[in-house]
Amino acid sequence: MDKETIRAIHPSDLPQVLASLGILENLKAGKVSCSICGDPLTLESFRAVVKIQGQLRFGCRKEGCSQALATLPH
Amino acid sequence: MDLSFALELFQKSGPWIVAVLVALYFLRILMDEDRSALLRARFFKAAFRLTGRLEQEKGYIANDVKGRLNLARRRMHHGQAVLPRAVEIAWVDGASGSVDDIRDGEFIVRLDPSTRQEQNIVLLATAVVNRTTLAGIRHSVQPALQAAIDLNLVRKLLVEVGNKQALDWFLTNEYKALIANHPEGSRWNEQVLAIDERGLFALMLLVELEAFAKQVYGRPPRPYMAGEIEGLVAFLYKLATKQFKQEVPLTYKRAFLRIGVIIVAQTAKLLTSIDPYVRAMQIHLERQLASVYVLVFDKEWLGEVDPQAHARFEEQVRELGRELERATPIVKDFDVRYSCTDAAGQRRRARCIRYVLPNS
Repeated sequence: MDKETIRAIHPSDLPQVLASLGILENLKAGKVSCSICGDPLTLESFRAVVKIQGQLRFGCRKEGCSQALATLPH
Repeated sequence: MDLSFALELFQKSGPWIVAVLVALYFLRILMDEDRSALLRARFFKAAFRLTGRLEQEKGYIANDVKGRLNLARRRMHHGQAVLPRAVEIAWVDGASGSVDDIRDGEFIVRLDPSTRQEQNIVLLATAVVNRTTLAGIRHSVQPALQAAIDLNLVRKLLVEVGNKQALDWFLTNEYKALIANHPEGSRWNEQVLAIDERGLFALMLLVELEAFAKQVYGRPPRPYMAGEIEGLVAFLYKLATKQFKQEVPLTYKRAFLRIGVIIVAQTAKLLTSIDPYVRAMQIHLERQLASVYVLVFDKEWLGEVDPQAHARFEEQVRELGRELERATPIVKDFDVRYSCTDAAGQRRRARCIRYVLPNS
């Protein structure tokens, strides 16, 4: 059966994953923004990440942001 | 199986028969990937409560969401169309989270702890709908209509999941806000809701959008493609809101979408003869339509006032199906019985049969 594999991050793994992506310190410093609404991201508001043409794009918890991120053309 | 029957069986056959029945019950679960995921989720949940270990919490979250969503999706499945796709969840940890490990286009979502599992269900239902429906034609669907289709598909998926907390959370926190955020969202959503109330959202709109996506695959977006999709929604909306004896278009013929509809609702007409319906199908085929839907609205009330006429109505519907396949080159794609809300707001049982022209 054709399946869509969605990779998920558990909240307790989030700092480690963000560190391995090289954005943890910038995120903690408020330098990483939601690619949809532009709000600065925090560990609590971080919701999703997608790679588009080699660039990482991020989405926050606000309604519509992760949906918009999931449907960005790639 | 009620308790007295089980007790009687136990007394007559001893514990072996109970053991065999239990083994058969578990075998049935284990042979079904999604049911066994739900069973695994229960074990992981119990283990997590006892030990508090992260791996067991992850096992519970992933298996519970996967089992629930995939079983719900199977119940929504109509004909050959698979919308949305089944979901598989893979955890990312620090060791597998470098930028190079992420494929282009890959979507990674941060979930919540298991105490907020209803939000995880909503999040992944939304993600799988966003990622797998309207594939190849999103560029041709305006954002407000995309949102209306996605949100109503997620809503239907969550209704099938049967988790009221997840559905409530979605309707309160996502559905209303997203519709309000799109300037044209309410208008499209009203149309999609009316189409859904008539049972035509999953059975016609999504099926035809998938057929459309296959036809336009690889073509660059063109304005007429968006017009074709918006025209389909308008066509189905008119059909869905049709009042008794109101004339509405029963064909929708564009560059890619070529659909015909035959409505079987007038008892006297069908009891007199099936010929008008066969003729309607022939006219649709002469117009080179690719798919024709026969919508039959059940006459339960007829069974109460005139059981013989009701039996004859049912027989005429069966005869119509046989005659359509005998007298025309069409092929039945699917035949689904469902319930819907009619123009008067009453629940009605109905049947949707999709025929396609071979090689269309």
